[in-house]
Amino acid sequence: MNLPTALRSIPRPAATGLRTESPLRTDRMAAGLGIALGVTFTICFVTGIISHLIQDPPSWFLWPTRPVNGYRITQGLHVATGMATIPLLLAKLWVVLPKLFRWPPARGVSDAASRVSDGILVGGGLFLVFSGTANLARWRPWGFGFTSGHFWSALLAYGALLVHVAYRGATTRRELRRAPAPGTTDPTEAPEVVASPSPARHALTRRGFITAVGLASAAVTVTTVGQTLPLLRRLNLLGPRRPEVGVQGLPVNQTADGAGVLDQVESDAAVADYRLTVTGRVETELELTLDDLRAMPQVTEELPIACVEGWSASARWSGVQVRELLARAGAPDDSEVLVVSLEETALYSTSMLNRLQAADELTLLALDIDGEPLHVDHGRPVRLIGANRPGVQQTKWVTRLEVR
Amino acid sequence: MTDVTGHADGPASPPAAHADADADADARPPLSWPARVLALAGWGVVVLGALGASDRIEHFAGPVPWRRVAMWFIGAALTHDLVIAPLVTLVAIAVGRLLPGLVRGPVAGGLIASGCLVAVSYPRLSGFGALPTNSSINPGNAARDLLVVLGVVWLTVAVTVLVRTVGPRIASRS
Repeated sequence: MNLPTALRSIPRPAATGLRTESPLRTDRMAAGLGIALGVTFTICFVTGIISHLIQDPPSWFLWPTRPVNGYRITQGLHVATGMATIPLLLAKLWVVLPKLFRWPPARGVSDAASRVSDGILVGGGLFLVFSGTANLARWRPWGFGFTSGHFWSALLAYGALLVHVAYRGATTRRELRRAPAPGTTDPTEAPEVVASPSPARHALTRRGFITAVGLASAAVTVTTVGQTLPLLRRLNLLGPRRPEVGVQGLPVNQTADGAGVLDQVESDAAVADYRLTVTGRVETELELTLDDLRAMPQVTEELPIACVEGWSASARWSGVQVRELLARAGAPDDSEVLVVSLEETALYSTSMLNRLQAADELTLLALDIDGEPLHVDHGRPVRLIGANRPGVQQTKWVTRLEVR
Repeated sequence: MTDVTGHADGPASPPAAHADADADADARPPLSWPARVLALAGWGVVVLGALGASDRIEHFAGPVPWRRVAMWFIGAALTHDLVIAPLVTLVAIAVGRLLPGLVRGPVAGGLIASGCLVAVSYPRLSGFGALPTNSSINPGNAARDLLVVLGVVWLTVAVTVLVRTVGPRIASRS
């Protein structure tokens, strides 16, 4: 007995008593939702990979410094699209749910492989939207690092999506090209059904289902995207961050207390002892006090903090250009710089400036925000701020620049 | 007899291809060569993800406990299949059976939107990630904000029902 025959011989379990037919559960509906999910998954995958490459760049990857708001857009799009995906994903799973009970479970090795892949896609897709949404509110119950877990899960799920497209692409194309033939129109779309009590007692018509899912997706987006989009800030009722809430009117992810640096930056005496050193591939190593930094030419720029968690907010930052410090130390023009925080042991205690960022006029060691000295939670006495960079790379409590 | 979307016996379903057709895998033609290449590439990415998650790749990202990742994948799928889907089924049956035709659509739409909005709000609502020393993490009153949004959703549902019920009567009188 070969495998398909063996699989077919497995008896179907007893009927559940529930019919699974529904005007909503058509290949055409599954295809339409599949296209929408293909687009949203691809946007999330591409923007997520971009974010990952920026934070852990391989040697061939050189992230530019312009546009200034580039990362704000790509990561804002990543999070907003992920949130908008939730209604689409649940709707798609609803439409194809009966396939879960298909019998026999597989009709050969290829079919079994596609079902395994679909299982990875469903589990991975659900975990990605759950973990992404929960992470925005700092709730991380999965017990492993979010960044790595989200990255590897995305590879598993997106790979499974490609397999799914390979197997179902032809059906999708066929269904979406097919004009509804006479006699195949949805009986629930008939105007009299909508206008009077229906004998069919459908909860929703096909059009109603699509409209409801689309509106749910729009509602989720409109009530959360104000985390990053200033135009919709007042409608940001459900986003876990308010871009204007935080010390000095700007959100904080890591506080000085949480980072364990409060003793080194809070008191005036501690700040008087502060030193910034510029070391590494330089002609002259520098050691500067805060007064030394304030005595240097000050530059003021409006730049965003754009967080990997999808919120962003702009502020006017004043301080010293990194390239000015590198010039005084006699660093080569193509220098890369490791920016080191007083918070020595944490995951984001350092960040790299590539050669474009190190030489950029908008890359500052900021001393002030909106005309006031930095609050300890914003990196007092000195923090890094640059264009087109994730918030986690805008290193706070900077104590050393290592030129490479 | 009631189906899982909450419709009792009525007109036969259209002969359109159903997503739950048992025969679809039988009817599926063999994969074309581009599809085979795509499937192979997809499996390649899956294998890359699996190797990375199980600490067999040193590049790209740090390792994670792969058993725990697998547990979350399976747990997420089972939570959907065993909790969310049956719950939605019961609600859909109730809406289909208990509500008159003009009300069913808007109410079902309102329930879909409300469910999604509650799901999106839950992490903030739960307060699990709140930090007492950091006021900018999950600020504001999450319950009040959610109630405001749900209020708008159900006001929209009420207006839609009103337009559907009162609108035709006004039109028929004029």
